[in-house]
Amino acid sequence: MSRVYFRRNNQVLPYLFLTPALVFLALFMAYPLTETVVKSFYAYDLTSRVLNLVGISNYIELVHDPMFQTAAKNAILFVIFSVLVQIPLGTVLAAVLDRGVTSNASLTFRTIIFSPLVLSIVAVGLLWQLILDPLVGLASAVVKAVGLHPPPLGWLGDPKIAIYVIMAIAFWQYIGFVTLLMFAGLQRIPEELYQAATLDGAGPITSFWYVSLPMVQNALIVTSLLTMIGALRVFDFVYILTGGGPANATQVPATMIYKEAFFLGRMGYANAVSVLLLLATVGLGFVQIRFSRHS
Amino acid sequence: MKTILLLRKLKALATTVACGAALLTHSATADTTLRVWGLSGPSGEYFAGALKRFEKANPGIAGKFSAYPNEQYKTAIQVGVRSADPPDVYQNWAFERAARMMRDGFAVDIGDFTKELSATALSEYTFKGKLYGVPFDRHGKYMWYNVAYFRDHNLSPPNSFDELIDVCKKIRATDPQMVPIGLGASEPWTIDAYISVFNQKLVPEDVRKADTALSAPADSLFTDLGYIAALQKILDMQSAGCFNDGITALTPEAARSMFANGMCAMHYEGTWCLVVFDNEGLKNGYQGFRLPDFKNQKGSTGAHLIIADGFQVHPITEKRGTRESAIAFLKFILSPQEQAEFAKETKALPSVPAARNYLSDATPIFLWALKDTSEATVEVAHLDTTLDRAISDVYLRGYQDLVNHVKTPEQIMSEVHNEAVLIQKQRNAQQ
Amino acid sequence: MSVLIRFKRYPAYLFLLAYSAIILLPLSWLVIASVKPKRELFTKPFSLPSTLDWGGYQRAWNGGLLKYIANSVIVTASSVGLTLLIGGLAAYALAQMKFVGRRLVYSAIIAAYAIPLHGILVPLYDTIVKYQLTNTYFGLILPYVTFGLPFAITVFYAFFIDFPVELMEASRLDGCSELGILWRVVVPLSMPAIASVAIFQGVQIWNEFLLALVVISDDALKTVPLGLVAFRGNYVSDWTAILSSISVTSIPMLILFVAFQKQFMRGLAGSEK
Repeated sequence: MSRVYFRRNNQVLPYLFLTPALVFLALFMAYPLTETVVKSFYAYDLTSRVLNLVGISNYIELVHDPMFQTAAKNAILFVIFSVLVQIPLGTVLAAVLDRGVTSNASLTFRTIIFSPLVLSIVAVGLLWQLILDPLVGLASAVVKAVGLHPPPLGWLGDPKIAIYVIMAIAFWQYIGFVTLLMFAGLQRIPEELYQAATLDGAGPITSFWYVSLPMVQNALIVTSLLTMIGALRVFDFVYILTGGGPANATQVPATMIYKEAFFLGRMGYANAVSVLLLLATVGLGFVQIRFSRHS
Repeated sequence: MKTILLLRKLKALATTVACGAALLTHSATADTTLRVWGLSGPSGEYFAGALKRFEKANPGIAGKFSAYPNEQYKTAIQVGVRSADPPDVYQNWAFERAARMMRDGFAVDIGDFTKELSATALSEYTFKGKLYGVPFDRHGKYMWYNVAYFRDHNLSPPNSFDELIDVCKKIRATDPQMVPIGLGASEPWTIDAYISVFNQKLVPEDVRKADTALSAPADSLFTDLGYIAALQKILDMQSAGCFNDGITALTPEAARSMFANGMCAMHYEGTWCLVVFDNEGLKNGYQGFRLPDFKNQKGSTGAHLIIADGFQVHPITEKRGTRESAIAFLKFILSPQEQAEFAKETKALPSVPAARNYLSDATPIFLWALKDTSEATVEVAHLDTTLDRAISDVYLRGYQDLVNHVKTPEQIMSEVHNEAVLIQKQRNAQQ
Repeated sequence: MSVLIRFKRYPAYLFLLAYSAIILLPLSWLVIASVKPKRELFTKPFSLPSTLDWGGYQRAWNGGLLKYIANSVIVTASSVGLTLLIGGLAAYALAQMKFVGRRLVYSAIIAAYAIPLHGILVPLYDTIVKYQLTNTYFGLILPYVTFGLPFAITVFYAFFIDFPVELMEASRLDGCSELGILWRVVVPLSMPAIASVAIFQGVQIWNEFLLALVVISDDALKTVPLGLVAFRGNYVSDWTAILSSISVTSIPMLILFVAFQKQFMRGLAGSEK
């Protein structure tokens, strides 16, 4: 009896279970997503809401816009340095935590290394802003104490170095994320493989190179993609530390979208930036999802 | 004297009571809630209190004050006036921002306030001959100087721009550790204050007006050499050693603190910083002067840079029947007594000069600044409040590039010109 | 032999110690500087405080931190709760029921995981304005739930798909309704997955800044990250108060993290799914 009851309702029940999720996704994701693409071909103001169809001229303007060039360049720099710095350092940390120290020590160090991950970027940004204060900040005091000169335009005031300072702070907070993911991957490697390598006379570095790395290849790719996607989405660090300045030198795509839409009021133009950001992140995201499912 | 004050008080009371009575007859159909929007912080706290007093004086009206922090209010008010539930009365900056509300149809003519305010003060919200708002505070920007330091180093306040440069050079020569003028431009509006005044002095007035309104011919927009000269003056000050290092890394507030703590000899900022100086221990230890004139300047001499905040009234008040109570509220807060109360609570400079009569215990420097700003005849507004947002953005980031020697004045002005041409074209296309 | 191993491990410990110092120094400076008397903060940057000055914490607390924390708790708890409920139901249908369009829906939800909030910010804001949700908790909760769903559904799906069919069938034969099965059988067995999703989403939402920045402007509704920024604006030169506000809002997260480390790590690592 109950089976019949179940089967009859089976046609309705799954859709009933799915409806709330699909309604949410439709209203607050699918619809805005479509709007982003469609309205990137319009010019409209934050307030006036009068839509003017302008075709691809938002995109043409973007190509010539120095702010976009800076934002795109900074995004690419962020992606490149994230991979070059965070991935190797995070992976080596994970490997040392995995096999280099006793398990008690590993747990203590992991607690320390992962702890910045639970802090808000805003809190971390505000903290570093005080540390980097050009007049009375700790960083300048340290640099002076060892007999060097802090940058005369200030850590975050010099357009040539500000973006790298922001990166360093972002890495300070998020290298632990790479370590976390890689550590999880390394822990899955069977102990026998390492024993076999040791019998063959491999030292810790050799084992890392020939046993650990090949075994976590997939995790490495997924982590790299996640790091790249994260770097493309950076907003909070820049907003808090420099607001995109000095003179737009530290703009990234997300801060540019915010500035164009909510400060300059050019919503259509902001949508065009969004579409390009979406293409980049969604592209990387799909690759990441593919790799994740294989692993 | 006391009787006169009492009489005035009674008179003020009588007018508010009369207003209240007039309003009561309306209340059968009218909405009795008066929605007021403004900034949070000390002024917000004052207006919340003032609205309560207004309620008491006008039974039957319920006030509702919504406070927003500064950085978000610019967006909140733009969205708010267009929403289904807009405010009846809302705070808005003078000049271009207020004018835009008028152009977009979100501000109404509020009639006659000549009894309360000076002609210059009214002009900040007067567009096309009609009054679209009233300022409740008017801050002036001054170059503040440390009196003790000037006395000990035999310096006197400069009477011309060249003398200002000389003061900087003298300080650097005798006291290399001392910063003559603290400048924190992590937010570029601090440099905008200088350029706004320099432009007034160095660009012929009719040219400046036509450029600002984008009514000049496209190829001449912002091409007057005076604009370049104005930017160059900042570089001149920089090379004379006037400013600190790391200008774009320093926050405006840090620069203010430097002056308050005697780490620099001068500081250019609006009169809202008086309370900060006093609280940080410089009470009565400073005086101020307006940015001095140039030798052969094009604009009128002795200009004041004024920053005014005020209220505008939304057209929805017509439909809701709250128009009269909205205007009564504005009259109420612009009474000399309320303005004095406002000044006491917020330490801001009131817009009604008569408030001075109730401010006998204010500091001498406060009373001096109040007198000096209310007597202003040649008035300059911040560029970023008079120019189109996109053009002022080019200017603002240009300032930071300027002091970091990334761009020359010529490059910045050519970018301003290009943006102005673009915006002019867009405006023409829309019309 | 054992001495040799320990000696060999020296570089490993040194490396971890050096890196830990880089992490811990700014954090300890935060705590130490927040209780330093204001003068010493600038004149003796490297010293320990001569006396403990709790004034910064007092000023931070009076500045309305409790209000910001309460708002964050309300928004985070409601968002996470709704995400678990809605995501759980959807994942259960996808993993345990057969229906037309199942694969399509599942692929669409997986694809949704790749879409960042930053990329659709402007129309998302328009949508929130359209439903008059600016300056309301729901203006944050509804989008947070939406952007949490793809992750929640993928994690739950991976978990539910391994449930033995026999278990469900047995429960059904016992006369349990589908909802009854969910509540009495599935939920108790899914606690690890629920914890992972709750923690990962909880950390994300607690710290979210960009959407909150555009949706909330009313000070009474600000979440912790917005509150910290407002706080810096109001107490510009009061460093000890700013540092205190950062440490008051950060230390509870660090304590929670240390206490529930295992769950946290599993939750955070879940983001590779």
